[in-house]
Amino acid sequence: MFFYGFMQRAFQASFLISLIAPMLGLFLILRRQSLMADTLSHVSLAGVALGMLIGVNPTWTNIFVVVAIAILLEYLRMLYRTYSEISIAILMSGGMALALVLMGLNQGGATLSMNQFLFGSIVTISEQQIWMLLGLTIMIGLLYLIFRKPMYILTFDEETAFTAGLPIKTMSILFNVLTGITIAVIMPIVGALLVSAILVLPAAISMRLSKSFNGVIMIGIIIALTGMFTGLVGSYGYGTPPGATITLIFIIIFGVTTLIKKIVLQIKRSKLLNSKDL
Amino acid sequence: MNALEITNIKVNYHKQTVLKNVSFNVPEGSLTGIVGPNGAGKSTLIKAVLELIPKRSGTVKVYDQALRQQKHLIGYVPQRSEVDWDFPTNARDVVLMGRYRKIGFFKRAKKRDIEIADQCLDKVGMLDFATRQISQLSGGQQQRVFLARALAQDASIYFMDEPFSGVDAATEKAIIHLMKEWKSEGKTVLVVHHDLQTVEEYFDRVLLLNKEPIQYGETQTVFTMDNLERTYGGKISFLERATVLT
Repeated sequence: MFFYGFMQRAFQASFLISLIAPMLGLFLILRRQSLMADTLSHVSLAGVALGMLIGVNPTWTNIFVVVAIAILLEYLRMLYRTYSEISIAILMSGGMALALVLMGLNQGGATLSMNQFLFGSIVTISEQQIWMLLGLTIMIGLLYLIFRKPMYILTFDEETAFTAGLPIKTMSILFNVLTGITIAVIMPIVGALLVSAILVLPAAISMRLSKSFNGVIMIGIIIALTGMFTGLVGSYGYGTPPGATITLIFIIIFGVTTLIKKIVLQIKRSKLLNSKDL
Repeated sequence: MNALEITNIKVNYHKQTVLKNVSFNVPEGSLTGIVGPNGAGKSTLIKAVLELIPKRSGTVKVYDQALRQQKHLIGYVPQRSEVDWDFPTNARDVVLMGRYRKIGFFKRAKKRDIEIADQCLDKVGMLDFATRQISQLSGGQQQRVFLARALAQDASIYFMDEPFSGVDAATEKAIIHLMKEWKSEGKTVLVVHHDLQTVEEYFDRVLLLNKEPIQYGETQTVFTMDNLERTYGGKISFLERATVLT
């Protein structure tokens, strides 16, 4: 399996995605924006459909559309402070509807390619996509190192961050834009329907295992690597869609870690009770 | 000298006016309580002053200059419920958040900053919990971590939103001690407060508010039964009435 060029590229892509996912995922979870990733992935389908319709590389139209929507999302989040899920609902359904209409207008071979974007494909990962992903990983890594503290303060307590003089609006928009670009780049690989799960699940699992910020990210990377690599092997072996296989592996890891944590807690409790009895 | 000059603040929420005609000056080194019934706009006032929510109209001057130029003088202690206490961080890191304006947001905290953070935790009796994950702290302990963060900020004007709400006696004592210390250092403190029984003991100035200012001034002059009746519209309890009258 490792002698095939497409599998090598799939593993390279998975490795890079595993580095990005916990960093973005943790901030998405803590900012209560897990569903934003889902919204952007639905909207990104419209970007792809637009590219196919006008005959431009779908990745570029995708990035353009997703970035525009990411900015709009932040505006709507401010507008509907108390009902922030309204913006998610509007844009998620709107993005999907637009994608379907654009696909309808583009009669012909678009459906097959659209399937690839919906469910992801490891066979079609190109050299260009790997380079793009590498650039994105370096960019996110650098931004994380530079903006870690301000983002940390902003995420913990937005109001205090504002009174402390942080440009919270600009930072929020930049974070959304970065999430949008990431989704646009990794969506063809893992599929629009499950891209948010791959971004969010590693951080969600590691949050249960570590109570420190860096700990969550480090464990998240290990979980992401385990899930992505196992998922890829499974996907190759059984001919199942990669995004779905990886997501199921993550859910299994989630279930197993929850179970182990409960057992450990139970053992600790009974030990404590026994020592008190003595 | 006035630390704060607030002029004609008006706040609307969905076209409905929730706060209007709010004008008052806060002298430097004073302890001011903002008091009023639920829904009177006490927290809204603080947030509007700090530009956390949009104002319909009004201006805020801090030491005679616009707030935006003087933000470095401001310390804000939000309500405990406004923060996610499951956030993966410990008490010391929360206190360090208060230092980053001084450290620089893009620089690492130095040993000296960590020492200062620990001193602040010690001052509120929380040093033993420095590395404790914040979700494992009680409500009162969480409030004390917030206080330590405010201390680490070393601001000139502090805005505190219901700091006494749901805290234990030790925390209440720590808050009072800190407020008096800030006052003795010439710092100005504004506190949203709901317990009428402690107003006279804690504050030297009071703003009675119910969607608009009812009375503002020195506690001895303003905190009268008559003014409270006007503020609360007759909804003042027997116990509170007895406390104010004695």
